[in-house]
Amino acid sequence: MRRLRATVRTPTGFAGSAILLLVLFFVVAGPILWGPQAARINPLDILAGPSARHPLGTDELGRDILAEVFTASRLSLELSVLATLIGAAVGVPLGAVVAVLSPRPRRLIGTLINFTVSFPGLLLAIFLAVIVGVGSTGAVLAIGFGSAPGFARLSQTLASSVTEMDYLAAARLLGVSRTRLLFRHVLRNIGEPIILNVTMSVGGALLALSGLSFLGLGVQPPSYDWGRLLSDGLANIATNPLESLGPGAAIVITGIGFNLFGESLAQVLGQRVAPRRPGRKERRRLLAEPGARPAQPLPASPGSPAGRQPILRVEGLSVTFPRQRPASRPVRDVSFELAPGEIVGIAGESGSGKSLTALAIARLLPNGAEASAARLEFLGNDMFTWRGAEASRILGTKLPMVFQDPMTSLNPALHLGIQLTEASQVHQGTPRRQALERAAERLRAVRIDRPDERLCQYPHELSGGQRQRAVIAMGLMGEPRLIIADEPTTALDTTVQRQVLAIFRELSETTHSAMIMISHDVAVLGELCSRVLVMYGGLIMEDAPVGELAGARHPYARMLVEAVPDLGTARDRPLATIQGQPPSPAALPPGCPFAPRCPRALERCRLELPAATEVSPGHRVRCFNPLTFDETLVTLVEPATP
Amino acid sequence: MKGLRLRDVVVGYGHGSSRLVAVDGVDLDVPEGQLVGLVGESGSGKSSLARAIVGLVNPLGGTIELDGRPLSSHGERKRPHPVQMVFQDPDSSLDPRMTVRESLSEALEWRKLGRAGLRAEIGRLLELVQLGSDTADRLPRALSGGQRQRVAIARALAAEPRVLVADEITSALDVSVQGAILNLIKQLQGELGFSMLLISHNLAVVRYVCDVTAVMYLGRIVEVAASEELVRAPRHPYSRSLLGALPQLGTSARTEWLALDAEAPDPKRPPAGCRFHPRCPVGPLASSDRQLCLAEDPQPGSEERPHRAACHFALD
Repeated sequence: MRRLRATVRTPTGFAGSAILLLVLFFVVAGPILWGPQAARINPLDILAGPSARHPLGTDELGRDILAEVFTASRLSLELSVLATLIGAAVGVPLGAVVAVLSPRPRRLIGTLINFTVSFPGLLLAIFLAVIVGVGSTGAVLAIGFGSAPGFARLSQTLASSVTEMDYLAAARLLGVSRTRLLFRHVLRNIGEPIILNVTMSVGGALLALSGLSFLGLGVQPPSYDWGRLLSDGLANIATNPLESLGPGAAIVITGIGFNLFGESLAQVLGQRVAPRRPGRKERRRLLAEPGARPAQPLPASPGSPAGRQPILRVEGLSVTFPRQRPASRPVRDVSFELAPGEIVGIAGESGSGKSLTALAIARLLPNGAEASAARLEFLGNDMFTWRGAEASRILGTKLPMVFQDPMTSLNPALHLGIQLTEASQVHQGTPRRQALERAAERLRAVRIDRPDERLCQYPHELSGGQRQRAVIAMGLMGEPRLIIADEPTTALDTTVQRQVLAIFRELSETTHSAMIMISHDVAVLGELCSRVLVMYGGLIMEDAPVGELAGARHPYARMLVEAVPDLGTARDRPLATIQGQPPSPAALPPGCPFAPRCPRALERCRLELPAATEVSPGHRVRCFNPLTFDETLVTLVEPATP
Repeated sequence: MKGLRLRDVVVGYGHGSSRLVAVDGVDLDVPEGQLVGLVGESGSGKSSLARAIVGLVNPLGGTIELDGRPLSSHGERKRPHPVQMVFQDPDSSLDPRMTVRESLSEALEWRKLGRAGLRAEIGRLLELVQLGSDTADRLPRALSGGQRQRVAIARALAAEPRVLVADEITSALDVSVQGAILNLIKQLQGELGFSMLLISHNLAVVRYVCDVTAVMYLGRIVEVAASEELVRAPRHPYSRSLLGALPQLGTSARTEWLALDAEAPDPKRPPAGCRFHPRCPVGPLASSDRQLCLAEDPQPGSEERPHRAACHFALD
């Protein structure tokens, strides 16, 4: 019901539903109000033109055309709906059943559907109409069966996507019968788009039925539908053009009504079924408006060596979604510095704000997000002052980003050569030949063999690891000063992961580019980074040199380290776990965001947010009650029994 | 033998040039009440093997037996399969339109419980996986990833399986949740005594949970040993390269163990001789006196070697 209301609220939806309501009115009331008038034969008024009494004129028996059009609504719509339902009733189960069949019958039905779909629908209908017999029964059956292959194809496609779902496999293992699988799992999950398509198909069926009646294969005298009226009117088009306009308009308006309604229903359903995520394009949109910046400078991170200009300086970075209700702040007061060649890791779980921090620095925040900071400097320049082309030039050549899934950064339809050289051709004006040479050299640098050949290949011809390395090579095409990598090895096998990590280490040595490496896996960061920031609830909870990470002081950071078994974990003891859920960025507690789950929380932790304090040189912790270096967390957290 | 016994199992897909033999003659035992782990990279065939065990794909050859009888003869119509599976992604393994109660009721249908019995049993199952009874009437999307995985485990347990196959059950979850799920599965196994085949790409996870670990490479089991033993003294160079590649906090990696080529060859065209030879750090590409590996498949005769290692030089 709520969805229906949402549908009506859109402009298309409103127009569609208004038309459909009007049509419904004529379907119900047409034959009652105008039926007698449409049946009245008047020999004195044969084939009259439009007049005040007969706005659309009269037919060869002197009946009023307008009254006939109104009266015909019921039959026209009844037949269309009936034909659509027949089509759906035959087609949908036929297509959906493939999801629960074994491969051989599945292929057979697939071939059958392919064959019937390739047969033109209207031709099939005419063919059937001739077999079944001329008349409204024949026409309805013909249109019904004619539209069945379309429904079958749609439900086959939708059902195939359900087939890939593990819940179907799980139900099969539970011994659920095929019929139940079909009704309980398949049809239920493909129902919405099918209903939608059925709604939209009524318009098409109306058109097809009118077509058949127009050709004399559909409704026979003395009954009449809009198609027959149109056919009658066309005979007199020279004397009274309005006679054919009436039924014609009725068909067109009704058809549009169904389509508009279906269209907006589709939008509403689509939103509900698949929540909209910011696409790649949107993510790439630059931050136009920097938010308010707090005036007073915050203490910077002590981690970077003094005397050299840092590559990146971040002070008091926050990311907010001001237009969300309630407004949320998934990143709060993040401060750190990066020296040339330094590799800093950011660890945290989903929702900790680690990716948004990186996206804010790369200015790739999703729509609706705003970043603000006391200071955000890249190579000594205030990033907030960059605009338009300048910003894309700097970001495109000096600050590449590597994502978890390399395919988000690669265009599947273009050769690698084109993709690798694009940025340098646009931003640096490098000639094509030179750019290609550089690309081959960069591919070699990330240990991709036969680089010249690879430049002529498409992304799908590479393995997952090679793709990720190609994306890294793409980032090396300019003069990268800071590489941001967001879970770059999470989807890779461990041996490939090690290779990619080695490449990153090598690059930082040869190019002196700084790096921010984001991962949920502390061990991965330990391999590569000199320093690791652990984030929770949008805050940096701990900023530790990598050597001190195994003895992390913040309880959450320690849990991240100890929750994952390594080769030395005692097998007879449970892993460290922490009960509860991370806080929602829209409802952060006033004190430490980790306090509600923290086994060491004090009264104070729930009321006050602890400040970052240095516990040893270059090691900051945001905690009132940190662990000591050799305390273990496992003993502090009770095993996961309630 | 009580328990699951696989002999010479072959699983393949496709025809002609696109033909892929994902599992190529696997022998594996999961004795009753034991936890056996299966490790391998993507493309090693470990998921295909899992699907063959539970009957989601038909093996092309070999035998799968439970307690000495073919597994297919255990199946009864409308009864759950004696081997149940927990899948990697709980987003996909729970029907988005069914509440937890509906999903569990489906799994309990075969027991023909009455209304009250069903309610009590659902409560018991939820308690078993440490979920509150208030979860019962929620849809999967109202649950966190860890909670969903717990529901999936509860559903598998509802079928009272003899063997549980757990395929990468923690890799889609957050770190803090992974630990909790591993703890849970170990605890449940201890209480209920089912046997389990745990499949993972992470050797450390398998070692932590399982008594015995099997390493799979390009469709074959290349080494089997007690988990601790395998980690302490691996016999097959591939197992060693997996161990060497594992990121470890605070210890430096053993680079001499790493595979020459980080990526596995195309499983559709496995190399001749030893399948690992193009990547082997101690094989023919590294030392010229090991030409044997180019020509001769080390799989036959692995029974006699320590850890059943499919390597001509397993004793070195």
